[in-house]
Amino acid sequence: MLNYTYENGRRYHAYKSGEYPFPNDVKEQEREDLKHHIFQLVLGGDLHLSPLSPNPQRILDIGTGTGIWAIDMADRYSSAEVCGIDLSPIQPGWVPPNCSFSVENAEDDWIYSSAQAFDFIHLRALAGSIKGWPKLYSQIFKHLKPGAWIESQENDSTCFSDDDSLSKAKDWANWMATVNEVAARFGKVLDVGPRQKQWMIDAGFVDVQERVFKVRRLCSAKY
Amino acid sequence: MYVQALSLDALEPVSMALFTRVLRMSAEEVQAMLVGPRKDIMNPSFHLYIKFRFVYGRKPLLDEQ
Repeated sequence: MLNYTYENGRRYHAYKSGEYPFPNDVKEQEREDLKHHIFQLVLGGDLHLSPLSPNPQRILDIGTGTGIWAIDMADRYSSAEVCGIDLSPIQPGWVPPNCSFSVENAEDDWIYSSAQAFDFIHLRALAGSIKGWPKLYSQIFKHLKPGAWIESQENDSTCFSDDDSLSKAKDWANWMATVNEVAARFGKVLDVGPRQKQWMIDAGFVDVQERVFKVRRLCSAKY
Repeated sequence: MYVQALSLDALEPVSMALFTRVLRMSAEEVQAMLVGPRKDIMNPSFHLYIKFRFVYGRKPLLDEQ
């Protein structure tokens, strides 16, 4: 599990080696934590949009990464037992007592019993990490309590502009197109944001809502 | 600004393993390929946006299933 792979100056996970194509070293963990901050800023400080009951009992965070969302959720909901799973054991040791982590592959068959069903399952920024999205959603459906919530948070892997910026930013646009194409060839599509809603509906979820926020990707001198 | 930093920091970790493993490029070739996109990210005349999506749904209650 800790027998990490080192390649081109970056460190990659060991369990199910090669499955996750992005690093897990400290530099990448800082990027993950910045990403958490950005998602939270987009939500005006909130951790989720799902209308949870005030006292949820069991919460699962799939692909928890540095565990930062799970830790914040455990602090927010003291009633809940928050579990974070990931291929990499990179989460901190000092965490709230109602937060725990384990090394698991969310794409394997889940072994939770029906008594361990969840009140809320959260997945964020898993683009490029999952091969079988429909299977993942059907496992999530099975392991939620009736009436319980699923929430997916993703940024698109393509950009847009209201003027001709995108056609001028050729190198950036080419890079995005190439990385999307190569990720698909690798078997893990990057641009999954626009497909989450339909996958949820197909898995049997109801009251499915999608909220889209337009965020400035590149800094501009004119604000 | 945060998203710009995130984009800048994403170029190498997002590309490196995919491009070296799938496209069989060398690490040096990947680094060279990132110079142009990096300049585009820092160019203040480009106004690019990205969509953040929050999708949530509910498992039906037993009598709804």
